Amino acid sequence: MYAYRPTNPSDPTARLRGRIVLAVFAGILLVILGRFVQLQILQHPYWLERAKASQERTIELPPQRGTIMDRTGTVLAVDVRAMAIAVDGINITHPDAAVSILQDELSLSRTELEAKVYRDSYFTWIDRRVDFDVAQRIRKRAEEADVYGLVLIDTWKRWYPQGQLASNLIGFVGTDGIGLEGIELAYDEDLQGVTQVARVLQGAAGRTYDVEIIEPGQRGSDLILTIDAGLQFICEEEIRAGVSRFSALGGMIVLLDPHTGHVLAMAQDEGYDLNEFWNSTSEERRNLAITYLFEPGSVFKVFTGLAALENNVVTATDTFNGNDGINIAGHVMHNADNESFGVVSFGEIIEHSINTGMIRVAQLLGEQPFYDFLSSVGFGSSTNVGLPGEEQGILRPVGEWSGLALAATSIGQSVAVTGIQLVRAVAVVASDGILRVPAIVLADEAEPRVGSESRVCSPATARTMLELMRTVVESGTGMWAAVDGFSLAGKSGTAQKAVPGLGYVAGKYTSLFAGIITANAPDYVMLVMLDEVRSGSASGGYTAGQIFQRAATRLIAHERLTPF
Amino acid sequence: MMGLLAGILLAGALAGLCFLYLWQGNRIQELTAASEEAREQLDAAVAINQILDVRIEEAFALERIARIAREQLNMSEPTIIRYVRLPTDESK
Repeated sequence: MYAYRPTNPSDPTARLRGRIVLAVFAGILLVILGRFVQLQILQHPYWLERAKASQERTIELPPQRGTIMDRTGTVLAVDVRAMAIAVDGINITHPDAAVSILQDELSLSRTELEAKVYRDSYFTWIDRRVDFDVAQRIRKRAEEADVYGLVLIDTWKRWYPQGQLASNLIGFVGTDGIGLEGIELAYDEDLQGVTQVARVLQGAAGRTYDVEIIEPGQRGSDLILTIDAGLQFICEEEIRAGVSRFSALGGMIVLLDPHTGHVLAMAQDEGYDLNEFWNSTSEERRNLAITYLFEPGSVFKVFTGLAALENNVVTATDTFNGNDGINIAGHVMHNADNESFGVVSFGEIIEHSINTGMIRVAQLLGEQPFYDFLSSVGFGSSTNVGLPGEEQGILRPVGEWSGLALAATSIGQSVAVTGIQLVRAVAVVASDGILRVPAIVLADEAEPRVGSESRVCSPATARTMLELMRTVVESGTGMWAAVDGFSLAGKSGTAQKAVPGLGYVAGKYTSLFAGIITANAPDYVMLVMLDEVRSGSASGGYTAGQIFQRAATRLIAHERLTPF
Repeated sequence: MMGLLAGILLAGALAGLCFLYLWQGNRIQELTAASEEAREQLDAAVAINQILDVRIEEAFALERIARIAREQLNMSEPTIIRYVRLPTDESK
């Protein structure tokens, strides 16, 4: 049986043994303490960095770009959450499974995916704009298949719910979220927000324990356009149908509110799907209303007439020789179809678009007053509508005018305009003589647009011209544009196209109709332009006038305008 | 003997408090992680909700509605609209 036997303290062997044990323990303790001092004090910054590197990461979430809406709140462009997917080709596990999952979920070929996944690189982009729900599925399937090495990064994807509608106006953003064309480019600074930066603390298996926002970031500002999606849709449908019906090269419709300068529609036959902009050509993406220059032809008689009326050179009842043929600087200028009208009033010159009569009116007016008026209504300078790439048009200064220039300009030759310039100038007639800077974005009411309007003629002059333009639709060259039950005003134009190096070429015309809806309540101004009609008559009244008639009929129904 | 007992009790209490501190600290971490996970799920649900909103917008796109009206419902734009003057009360 074991019995406790105390050690004899005076036994020197026992004392030595006790000291050895104590020394060993003290030594171990010292080593531990030393290591502790080394790790916690001497190497503290180093190990702190290592810990942070494995537990913390700083992430940047790109800002949500502002939404673009039409004036009724219809969403035209919006950012939705998406994921950018990349692959770590060095550390990826089960690459075959990864390829299969990505092939199932993304529209990418297996060969393409294999080239990316098996690439000898730590980071290769697979797709930078994957729909959020698709990315979530990929993440889940990858976890189930033990695939590690797919990198999913939060981002945004620009989405255009209306597809092709107003595509030439809205434009698009690139993969890095920067506006590249149209409104997206022009208002990029407003639409872009500020990137959010956050520090994330993660434990084992990527579990998040804490998120610290370092930079709060800011969503981009929303943009409300003056465009009405319903009217834009009507105009796009009608110009497409019209271009097809008259076998034209192209065409456009621009619709303006003359009392505010708001552009309500900017339509053209060609467009592209904004959600697949990479499949479009630069020609399809071009915004004709601000970049396409053309001679305005007889529509320009409106401005010759306004200038003459404003300068008290004529009244509506003054008479002129309207017979065909007038010799200007050795060059004989004709009426359409060489038709002679005899003695005609100024009103009849507008109504029947008589070239020779209008040239005589311009001769009474003189070059400088005519040029000054044309400049005042904005020809020869950009309208500042706020869209990139706007052309200025061509209006040469009087000093550069040839002997033919006054006569030619009075009937819309030797000048070049854009659609937005022309419709804005016609709006002067509908707004009692006020010229307004056209707007494409609804302005903040707290910040009125400075210098956005100016008076270019008296209300009386504008109303006289409005009445004359009413006769154009009722009994003149614009009868095709008439809408039953409504009194409209307008002016047609058929301009020969000048080809560089060849001058005016037979058979190539620009067909135009500029109309005011309605003559009694002039709240809408619409310009229809067709480029090179190739089937039948190219007369602006007949071709563009009919497109105007259809578009105006639908506009009247859409806006519920009161007849009679 | 009493001193030894008090020492043992004190050590026990200290150990208990240490355990409580560690246990609660761990619990807080667990709850924070669960909360973060729930936040991520909410975030994902909000994102998917927004995508569904956009798909609704797409479904209501004018071009799509017009195409369905024409192709599936055989509707067409009226070619001629006649406005008729209705007699007023005085002219009846």
